[in-house]
Amino acid sequence: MIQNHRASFINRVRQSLGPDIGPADVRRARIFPETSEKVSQNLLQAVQSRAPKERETLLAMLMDQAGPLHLHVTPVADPAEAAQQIAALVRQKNPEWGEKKSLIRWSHPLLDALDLESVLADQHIPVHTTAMDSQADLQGQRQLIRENTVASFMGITAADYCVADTATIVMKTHPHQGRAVSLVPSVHVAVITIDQILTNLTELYAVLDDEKNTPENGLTHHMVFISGPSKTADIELTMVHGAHGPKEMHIFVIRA
Amino acid sequence: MLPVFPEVTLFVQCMVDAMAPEAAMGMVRLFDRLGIATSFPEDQTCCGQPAFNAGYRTASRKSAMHFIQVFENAECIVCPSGSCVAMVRHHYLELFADDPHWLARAKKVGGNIFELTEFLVDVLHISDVGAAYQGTVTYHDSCHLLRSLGVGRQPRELLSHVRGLTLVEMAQSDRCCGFGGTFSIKYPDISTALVADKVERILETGADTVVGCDMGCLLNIEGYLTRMGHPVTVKHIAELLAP
Amino acid sequence: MDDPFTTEKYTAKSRQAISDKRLQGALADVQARLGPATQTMYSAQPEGAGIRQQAHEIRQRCIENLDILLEALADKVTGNGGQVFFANDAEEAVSCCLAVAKKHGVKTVVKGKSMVTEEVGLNQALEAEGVDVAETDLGEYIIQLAGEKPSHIIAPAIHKTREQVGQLFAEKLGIDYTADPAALTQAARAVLREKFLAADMGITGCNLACAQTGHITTVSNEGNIRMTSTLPRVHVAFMGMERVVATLKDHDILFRLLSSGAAAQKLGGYVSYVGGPGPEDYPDGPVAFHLIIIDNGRSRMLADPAFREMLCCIRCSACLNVCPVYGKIGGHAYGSPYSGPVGAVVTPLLAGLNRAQDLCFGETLCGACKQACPVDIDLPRMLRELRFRLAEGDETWSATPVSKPEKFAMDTFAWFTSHPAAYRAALFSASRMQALVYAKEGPIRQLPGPLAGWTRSRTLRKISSRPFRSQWKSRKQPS
Repeated sequence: MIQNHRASFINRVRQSLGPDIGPADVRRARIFPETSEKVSQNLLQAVQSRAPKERETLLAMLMDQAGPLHLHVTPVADPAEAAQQIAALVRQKNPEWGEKKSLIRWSHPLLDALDLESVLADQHIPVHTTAMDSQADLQGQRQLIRENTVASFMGITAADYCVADTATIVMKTHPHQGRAVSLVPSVHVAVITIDQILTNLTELYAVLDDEKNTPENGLTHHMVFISGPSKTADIELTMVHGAHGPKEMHIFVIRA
Repeated sequence: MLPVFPEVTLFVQCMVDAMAPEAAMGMVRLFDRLGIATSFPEDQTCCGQPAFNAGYRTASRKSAMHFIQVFENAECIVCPSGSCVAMVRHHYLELFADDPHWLARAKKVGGNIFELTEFLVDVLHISDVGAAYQGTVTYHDSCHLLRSLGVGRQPRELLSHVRGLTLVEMAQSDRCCGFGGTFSIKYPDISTALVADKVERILETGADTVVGCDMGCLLNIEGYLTRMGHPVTVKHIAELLAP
Repeated sequence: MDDPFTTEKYTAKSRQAISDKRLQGALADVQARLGPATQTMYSAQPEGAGIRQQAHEIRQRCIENLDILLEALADKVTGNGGQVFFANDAEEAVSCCLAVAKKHGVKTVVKGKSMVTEEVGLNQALEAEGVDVAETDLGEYIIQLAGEKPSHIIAPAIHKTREQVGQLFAEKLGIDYTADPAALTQAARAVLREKFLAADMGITGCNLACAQTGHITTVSNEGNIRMTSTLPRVHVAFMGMERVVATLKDHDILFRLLSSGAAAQKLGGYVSYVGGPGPEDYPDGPVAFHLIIIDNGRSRMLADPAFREMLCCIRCSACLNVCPVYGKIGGHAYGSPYSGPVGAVVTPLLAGLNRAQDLCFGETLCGACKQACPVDIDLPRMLRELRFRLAEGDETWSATPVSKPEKFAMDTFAWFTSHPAAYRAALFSASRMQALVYAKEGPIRQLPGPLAGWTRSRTLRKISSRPFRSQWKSRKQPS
């Protein structure tokens, strides 16, 4: 293996910063503040104490912002209605690759509650999940999940948060929740609840900052923000949806 | 009521002095009409901008020091060129950054210098100088004037009060004309491509006159217009405000 | 190793670009669409007009604590099971990547668009080792198929028309000719999907990195970078050492501005945070994550107070979309992965000042770039600084004076400007001298010697026979 030059590298950077930079520990304390500022505290307070009416306003804002991004946002009353809407989408859409229709979804309490398996039974659509059994052969399971994800024309996820101002869903990567579900299938459906909607990125980062030190909520090895379907304008600046990722994206927002 | 100025000291950019004296004469007439006394220190030469922008700071400092010596006792310096004012006001600070003595003197001069239209509109609060001009005019925003001094509104305000004048904005009026000092000599092809675009934008307006506040840009634009045979007149704003 | 720079061809390539009508149209189009829209996006931010200065301060503060941030980032990533390698130069960065590829038995690689991998010449090195490398950003894929170089940081194939792409795809992918962007995109989608699924290793750059939490971040609209960092078993990320910021919250403003600057968006379509490999009991994600942090000349910029500011750059390309010179000569003329105003400053600092002198002098200093920069970098100031080093010579950058005649001319002019009597005499004699050389009437049609280029397309007014200073003397005083 080749030589890693970390120490000399960092040292050169330090030298380049000049003699007046001050001791590293003092600078470290200054640049990574322990306590979060008052502004963030106020933002967190606002998020936690949001009234139902304000949530509806955020939902309306999300729908406004989503439109131009070709992101479809549909409010639904409850999980059952979300399941019906998804079933309708499944009926409507044709697979992009191959003939067979199948779905892949996260293993997640909200999605479990949709009971898509029963709802889609009459269409004879297989619904795969990305649940892992830590006792069984991990590599074999990963292989199977990959095959199922690639074969599925629709991927269904939940999310941690949704940002109204940018029409963004935020997904930290938790166990049993495949990253490729929101990426490889041609249609991505995200199901969220109305209380997950935040106002803007500033609010989101205040929340993420607050959670970063609690391992169970904290940032895992991976997190993704998604604002609409995949798109490109690389040929003569002409917008085309579906460059590599999903061509279509839907968010169902459960009001109850 | 005009604020009382004992005197305005004129700094006539070297290019205006040599190649567009009518612009500076316009400025003089303008101040005469407004009843403002003017003086012209005859030892003035060049602010040092050409050398500075080309990288020759030792040479530029020589010109700048001379400029400071000539003008440091003037209370109010007015110049019919935005880029020269930007040089004195902003870039002298860069030029003398490591020389506290000259930096202090440069700061003093830099605080007392104004570009002509900025002086009229922001300092004297005059937007109507009583001028008349029969014609359709389009205005070119010179880069340093607009971006370093923030002057774009002032010349337009002055033009809008000129009787008989119709102002037609060109598209991308703030796009560089391709002059850029030594740039236009070293990279004539790129410079030509830029001035060709500028002239196209000017012609699109149907204006018979193009006006600006910086002689460098205006000579560049005029040079291309003339060579191509387009009958559009190029005027420094001072010529138009006090013909 | 291949030299990524061809900066010596600036003038010749500029000329070529200016005479290419189709390219001129494409450049005008990209600037018209993105230039003004970016300004509108900035002013719509809730922080108001000061947001760019705020972002500048964030970046400046991070750069001034770069040693600490890099250590923290490396510790966190290592703690999450990732490998961090510090590469002093391009060669080390490339060999590290090759070693990782060898260790994991990599035969095929998919890549997300990354300027820094262009800078170190990674693709050629991988290909020389027999590794199949596929660029996956649509624009990058097009130019890879065409065997060309990127001409814009964000829209690398902007110089190609839909017809050219249609012919290229028909030839290289064996599809029926079409010039429909949607159909062409679909064709690339199908080919690249197979590549993503088959690839052993994914290589990406970084838009930013977060020291506090130990993540690198990537932004894309196509989703190719997510594919690249999700599907292959190994993910290697290349990062210029200046990309790291301190806290998660620094990302708020920076991502908003990056998205505005790059594509006039509120936020890029996909933003990914990657902090390490996925645990084995997770359903997917690479099992190995390597972060290669690159200096390659950046610490020299850090050490020079005049150029330290350049490290604040987030490579959004907003400056390209407003630069009048870029708008005429396009990206290829710069002979570097970094084109436009950012390239004009950063390329000489990476490739050598003298070698890239045309990039320093071949700009108009109009200042549009500074105004468009989301982190308010004073690019014109640094261009002037580069010119200064080149004009007068500079040891730290091993720059030698570019032109003795020009220096002589400037010194002479400066002498005259500081000797007013001589200056006056010179002015009047020049006015008289030109009467001997040029026709009596009308402007000058041809200037002599090195000035001749100016009058190829333009005429020039003569020096007045009565300069202002003589008119002033004889003017009538107002009564």
